[in-house]
Amino acid sequence: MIHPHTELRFIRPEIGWGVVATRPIPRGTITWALDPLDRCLTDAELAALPAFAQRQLETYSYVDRRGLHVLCWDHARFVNHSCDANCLSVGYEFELAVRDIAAGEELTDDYGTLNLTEAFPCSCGAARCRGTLLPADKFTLAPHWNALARDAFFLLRSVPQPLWEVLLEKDEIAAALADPARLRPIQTHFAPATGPQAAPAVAAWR
Amino acid sequence: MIHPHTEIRFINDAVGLGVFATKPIPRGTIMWTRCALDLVFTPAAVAALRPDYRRIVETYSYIAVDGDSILCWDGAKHVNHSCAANTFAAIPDVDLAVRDLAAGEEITCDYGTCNLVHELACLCGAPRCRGTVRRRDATDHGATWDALVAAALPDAARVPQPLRPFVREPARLDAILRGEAGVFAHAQYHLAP
Repeated sequence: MIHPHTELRFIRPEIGWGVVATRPIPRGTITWALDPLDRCLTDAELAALPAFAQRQLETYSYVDRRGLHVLCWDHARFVNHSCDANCLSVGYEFELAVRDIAAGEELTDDYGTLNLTEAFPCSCGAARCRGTLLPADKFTLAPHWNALARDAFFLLRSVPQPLWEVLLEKDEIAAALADPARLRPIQTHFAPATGPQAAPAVAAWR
Repeated sequence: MIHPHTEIRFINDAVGLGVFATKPIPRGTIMWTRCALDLVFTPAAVAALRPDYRRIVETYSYIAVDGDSILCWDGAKHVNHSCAANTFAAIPDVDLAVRDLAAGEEITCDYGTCNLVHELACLCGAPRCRGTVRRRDATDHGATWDALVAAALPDAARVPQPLRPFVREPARLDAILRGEAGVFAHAQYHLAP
């Protein structure tokens, strides 16, 4: 579920639609959390779809640590990539603002964190744009992402959190807030190169 | 599953998102069909949801003729109501375009077919806007909607139908398209409250 102070807006023709803050969102705010209405599909379910639906899914879903294709039910699926993303994740099923986001500013995350299976050409325009996102970027960039997200994580309790109730792992998150040694790193999300796919966990939350 | 030549767009704060044609689409085209990826909630499952998720399900799903709430997995959940809707059902859970759609035109359906739990105030702005949309509209206005579908059926049999493979009851649809069965009466959508 995307933060309530966001909306879908047309960004520009080569980008398409994106998610924009409607009010200031301070650093440390949970901007998105996985929720039970998000759809998790196995490779087999994806392969059974018609080509146009597969393309839609590949465009709007990400791959989680189980190798499942996660399609957010709401406009979270339209969050674009930036090589200088203002939303990142640590090792839990949510993203948070890693700097203050102004009203009217686009929310972005780094697709490099989302278990890319192929190279992704980037036109984000950030000063440090990587040009092409590669599946292996996540291993080299993880320390950078962890440093940004970790500092924001410890602000969780100091800013309003309209998505707090959505969080799946409140106890683990509270434990990490109390004891930084227990904070899970972003590598928690990295899918193994191969391995069996578990049944979608969302079924258990319902 | 919504027709591939559509996209979600933000309309305004009052209406929110909507679904728009990205290319011209001829009358008779299947614009949406319920499909295997949609989330299905029985009435008991809806009642068991946490209130915030229940509100989402009630906002973005419709209640099918079997009483289940269907939350479409794709952009279909953002199709808005119009009292002059351009899609209606040929059989349950399969909506046809009942007139030619221009590129950029919004795809709409009539929430009177959705077994609404609560009445909705309507903002559609159609010349014959009913002002309020309610469950019994399917009984009161169904014959008008049936006639629109009947007029679109000859086109449905000859236009491209990319969604045809995902229709759950293809034999039932084909019989109607071949003229071997009468159209589904929208009044049958109306479930007892």
